[in-house]
Amino acid sequence: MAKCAMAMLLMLPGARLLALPPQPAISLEYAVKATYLYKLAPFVNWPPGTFHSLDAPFDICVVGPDPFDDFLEKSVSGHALGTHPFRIRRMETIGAEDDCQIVFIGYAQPEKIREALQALQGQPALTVTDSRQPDISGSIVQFVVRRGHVRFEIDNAAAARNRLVISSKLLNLALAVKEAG
Amino acid sequence: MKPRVHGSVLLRPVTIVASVLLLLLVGTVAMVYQFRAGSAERLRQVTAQANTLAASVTAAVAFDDRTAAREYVHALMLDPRLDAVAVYDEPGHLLAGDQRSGSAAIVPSFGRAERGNSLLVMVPARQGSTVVGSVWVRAAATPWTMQLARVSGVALLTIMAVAMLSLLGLAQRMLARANADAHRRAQELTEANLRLIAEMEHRSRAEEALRQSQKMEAVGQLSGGIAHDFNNVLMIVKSALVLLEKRLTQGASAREHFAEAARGRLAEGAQQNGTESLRVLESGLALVTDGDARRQQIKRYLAIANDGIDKAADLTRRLLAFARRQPLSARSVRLDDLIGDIQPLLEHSVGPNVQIQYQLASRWHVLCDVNQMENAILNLIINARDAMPKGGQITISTADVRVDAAESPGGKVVDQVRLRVADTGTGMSEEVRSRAMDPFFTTKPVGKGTGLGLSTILGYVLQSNGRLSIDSEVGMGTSVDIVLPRQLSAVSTEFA
Repeated sequence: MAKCAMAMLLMLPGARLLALPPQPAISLEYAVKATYLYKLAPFVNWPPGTFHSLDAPFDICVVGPDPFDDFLEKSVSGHALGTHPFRIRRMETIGAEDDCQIVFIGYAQPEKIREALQALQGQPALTVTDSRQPDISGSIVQFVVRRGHVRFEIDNAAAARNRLVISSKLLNLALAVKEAG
Repeated sequence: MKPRVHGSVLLRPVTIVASVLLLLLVGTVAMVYQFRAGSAERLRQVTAQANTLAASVTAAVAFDDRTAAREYVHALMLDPRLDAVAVYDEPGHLLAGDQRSGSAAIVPSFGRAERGNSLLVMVPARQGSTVVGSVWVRAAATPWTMQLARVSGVALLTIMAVAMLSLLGLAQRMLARANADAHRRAQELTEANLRLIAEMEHRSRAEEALRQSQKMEAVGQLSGGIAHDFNNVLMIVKSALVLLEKRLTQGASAREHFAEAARGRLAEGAQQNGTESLRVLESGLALVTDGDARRQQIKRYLAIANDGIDKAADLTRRLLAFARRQPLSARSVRLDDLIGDIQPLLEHSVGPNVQIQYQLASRWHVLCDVNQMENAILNLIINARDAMPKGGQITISTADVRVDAAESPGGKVVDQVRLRVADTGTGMSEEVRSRAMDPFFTTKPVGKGTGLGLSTILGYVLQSNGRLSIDSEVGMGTSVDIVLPRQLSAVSTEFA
């Protein structure tokens, strides 16, 4: 069922998502978000030393409640960034020692979000917050649903703090870019 | 003669044709190369455009931003040479696509394909090492004018070079033809000149022959006329001489009688001693005896005169024969028979040192005076004998000759009988040969020949409607031909 829904999502124009019943719409939305998560990886210039070895996995970590069901696993299956295969990890809390490259913060509480962001400050980790979360500044990428399409906003200053350089192509695609200063 | 080849090796037609072919080949290769290079360049351009689009559209592909993708596609489609552009995401779904009106949308197929003249290029849209989708770009068919323009430079150069070479070849060919023409004309001129020279020689020979024949005619007429009148005079003289002789012998018996009687009286008178009358008788007898002696002497003179007259008559007869004014008694005869009849006479005439060989092969009849023919043959035999003082061989041959219409002067088939008398004697120089038939021309010592032999034969042969010719070479002998027309009916005719 989920596989079929995913196939439909990829085949049909995004505008149709609105016409779907709420529950399937939400699951389709997260299916899209799940693919977006790993697709962000090549648009980020990862600082040297991000990976310990050539075949070290590229960790996508979900902190807190997981809205993706098994979409994430399905999305990254068979994909890699260069020589680094994607790996999905789930955790209740996150710290610098977790060594995640992309971190999706699933908390609903603003203080928990802030806490997680604080923990990842200065780490080479791309922090992502969901569109359904309260508007907490400080994450690098924030998913936004605009006219039935999953889009995102980027905080380039936050990226710079985490020593990440976001590709201008991605910045161009972002609904909003928050620059430093 | 082979026409000369003008100019250097470079200008030979074969070289020129080879050059033209080589040039065409090189030109074609160059055009193909240029065309290929143009196509490769076009492919490079389109690939570069596809790469540019792929590089810029990656984010839009990755994050399914159709609007952004469409903007990129439209931006690329500003290039009028592009026919269609399409962007597909990684699983192979169309994200954005555009094509010119009337053109088909791009359907992904394997790699790069050229349909018709259009060029379809696919490049993967990569972000770093990650493939996020694919970009398809189709270039419009290059207009034929553009393709033509691309190769026009080389084509023009090739065409001009070929045209120039062809022109050169043509000019060379025309020159060669003109040369050959001139050569042929020169040859024709030479031939014409040779013909002219031959004709002039022929003409001069003919004129010489005409002159000769006119001379002979004149001489013949003159001598014939003289001979005729002279013969009449001779006859008068001969008649007078006959009468004179008759008169001389007239009264001979009376004188004899008187001498007898006188001698008797004188014998009687001697017994009675002489008287006056006896002395008269004695003197009369002496007169008669003296007269007889004188008559005998006159008779001897008469014989000499008669002999001279006979010789003169013979001469006039020969002259008349030469002048073709002798009376001929012609009858149909086979020359072989005629020669057979006089064979003993001929053998006798030539003597023991000379052999006569007979090759008689004529079956046809001719019309001629038999006596004159015999005379002519005898004359020729004697001439031949005289040409061989140390002996030799004479060949008498006869043959029937048919002259074809093409070769005969009248254009009709002519049958002839040829009699040939050939010897192995001293022969004649050309000068002597050409004058041999002239009357009174002789190479024999004075008193040995009259110089009328051949001219008499000539006169006779011409009078018999025949031809006489002499072929001779110094040291090789002489052969004389008498050619008479064939006589079909065995009739006899009088020539006068």
